[in-house]
Amino acid sequence: MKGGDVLQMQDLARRLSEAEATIEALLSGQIDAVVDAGSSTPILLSNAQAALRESEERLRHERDRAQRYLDTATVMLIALDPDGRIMLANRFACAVLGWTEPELLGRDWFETCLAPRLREQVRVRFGELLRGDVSIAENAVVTRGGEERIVEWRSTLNRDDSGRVIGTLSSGTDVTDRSHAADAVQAAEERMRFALEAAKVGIWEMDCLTGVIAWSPILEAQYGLAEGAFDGTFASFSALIHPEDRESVLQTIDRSMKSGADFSVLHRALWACGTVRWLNGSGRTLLGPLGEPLRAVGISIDVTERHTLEEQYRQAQKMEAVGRLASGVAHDFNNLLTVILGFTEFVSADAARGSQDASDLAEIIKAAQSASGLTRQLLAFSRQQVLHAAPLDVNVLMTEMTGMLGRLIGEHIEVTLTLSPRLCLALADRGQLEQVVMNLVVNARDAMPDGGRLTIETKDVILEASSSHPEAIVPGAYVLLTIGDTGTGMDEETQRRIFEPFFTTKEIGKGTGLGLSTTYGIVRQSKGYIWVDSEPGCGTTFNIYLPCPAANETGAVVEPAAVAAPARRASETVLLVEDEPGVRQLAKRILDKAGYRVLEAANGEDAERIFAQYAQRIDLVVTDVVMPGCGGPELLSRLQVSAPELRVLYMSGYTEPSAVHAAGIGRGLPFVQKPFTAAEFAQQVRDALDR
Amino acid sequence: MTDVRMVLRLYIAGRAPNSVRAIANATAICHEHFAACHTLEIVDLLEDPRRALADGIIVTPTLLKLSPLPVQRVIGNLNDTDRVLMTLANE
Repeated sequence: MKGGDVLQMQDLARRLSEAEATIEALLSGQIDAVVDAGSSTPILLSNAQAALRESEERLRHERDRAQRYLDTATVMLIALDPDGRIMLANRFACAVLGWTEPELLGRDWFETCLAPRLREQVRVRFGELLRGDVSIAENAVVTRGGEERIVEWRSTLNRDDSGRVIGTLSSGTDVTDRSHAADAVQAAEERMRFALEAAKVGIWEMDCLTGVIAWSPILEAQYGLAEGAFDGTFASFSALIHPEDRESVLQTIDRSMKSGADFSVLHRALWACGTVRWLNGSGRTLLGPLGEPLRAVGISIDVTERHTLEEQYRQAQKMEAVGRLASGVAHDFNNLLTVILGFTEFVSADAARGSQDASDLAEIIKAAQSASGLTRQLLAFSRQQVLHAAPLDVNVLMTEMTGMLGRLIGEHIEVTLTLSPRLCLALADRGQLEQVVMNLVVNARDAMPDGGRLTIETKDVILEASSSHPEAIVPGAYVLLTIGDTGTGMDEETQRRIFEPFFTTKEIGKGTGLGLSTTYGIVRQSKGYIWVDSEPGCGTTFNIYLPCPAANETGAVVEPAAVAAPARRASETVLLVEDEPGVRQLAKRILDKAGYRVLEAANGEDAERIFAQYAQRIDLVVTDVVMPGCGGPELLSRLQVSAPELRVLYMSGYTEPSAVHAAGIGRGLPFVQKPFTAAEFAQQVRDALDR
Repeated sequence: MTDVRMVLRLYIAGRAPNSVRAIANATAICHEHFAACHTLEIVDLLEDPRRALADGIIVTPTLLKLSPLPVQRVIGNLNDTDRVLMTLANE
């Protein structure tokens, strides 16, 4: 063969070999495309085309899915590179931040989307995240419009195929509204806590399964414990309840635990130091599905002050009621005593001097006078007697009384008198104030059988109105008279009752039980106050506040009673008005003996009729103050319509304040207090006529 | 042979499976056997069909050895490394 032929043969063999290889490759599925020489375009083989299409679709599908996920996600998705530049921001993130994706990409996250105050702090945390610390964080982002939104971020690290960290991927939830709601709840809780603290309401909660009780600091304070001192056990709670209230409190709680009913219980807390406080507790038990107690919650309020005021108010009401009763009895009793004393005196005057009759009658008079003293005390307590209050120097009175007081209390008691050198005058009835001092000093003596010290002090004070005191205090200047002893003292129960009439701690026969109630009545009627301060073993102090007279009252000095004029034969005509026949008969007898002409009337209507008939001849009307129908003052005002100059003498064993005020009695008008002696009565009638 | 620069051209059709396979195989063979002394050009028929006509390519994948001469072709996905090497060495 020629060389060219050889080359041709070699080329042919190569091409054949290529063709074989091509066919083989085609058969074994290794060919993707065949080139169409005519159109010069490659024709993809069907399997190859399908595979190609499938792979392209898969790619597109994955890309679409990823994009869809990014776009529809309702969380913010932000990818940052290690320098903090934004590599990805989904649609939601863009919407929250107010930027488009192209605007955000490549920008510095910290500079673009964080408030300046937060940048450094968040950058530090970003560094920690890049070092691999798992990160959940909450911080505010700033939108393009400048608004701050609170976002809770969950971040992970982005790594390439070799595991190198190429940035972070963070998903963020906008929790601004939730955060605001949480703020609102917190604010409401704070308001509630403030209100409870301001109202001093203690709170407790008990887990019924573990028995653990939690107390608020206020509740601990209500039981006299320091903050955090309560150990949370029921036994400790139980021990803090006053022993006398413990059983009822525990029973009440136990019933609530069984029934689930709300409970409310007033009880005392006994502090470690012995202080007793009144607490009003309310609670509720929350039951489980089987009726078993799960949890109990409740509140507690210290009502000690209120409770004390209520007690004092009840006491004051009781005193008032007893006072009314006492004065009613005293009135009737005084009428009887007036009759007994008066007629006994008549008989006595006729009895032979030194005879057994005279001696017996003297005993009757003594007993009646003693009874009269008792009714005076009752009237003093019930503030129904007539006081002759006048400006009085309490220092002078005390100094004058010292000698008498020394004899009264004996040498085993030291008396200390501390008198303020400059003391206002006090408006008081001198005799009654003496009675007050005597009563208190005698009580002090009896409280110090083994000796001690009695202190009497005076000073000026200003009292201010106080809503916490059961007695409505009239603010103003007062003279404070303090009488204190170092004796046995009194417990609270005794202090509460000392001013009650017939309450006595003394042995039977040693005290009437009227001393302090009389004292109380006198002081109160003088528009003053008496308060006691005492503790068992620490003595007792009485503080008496006597009002200082207003400037325009200081000049009104009551003249001492004129010395009785010698008896002379009277000739005037007296209209005697008295509903009680015994008293009327007695008064008529006294007036008859003194020489008066007496016209008698049993009531106001009788008196008017008689007066109409004898008006010209009547010189004086002597009338009882309180009578059925028309009373004394009303009668007088009727009679004075036709006789304005008509003179009057009132008599009463019972001076009702309203009647006294209406008639101006006690402010200078003639008045005779029953029971009276014949001489007293005659003198008062004479005085009234001579005015 | 390693002294001579190996110039290769691989015709493929897009991301079709045998084409992808062929690229991976050709790259691996070059790295392993011709090291620094080779040129591997990859031509996608879907993008540049005219070049296939110039080289007389009728199917893909086809590996074309342009240098050293003579020009040789290997048809298919180049899975059979020994056969590829034998063809390329055939002078």
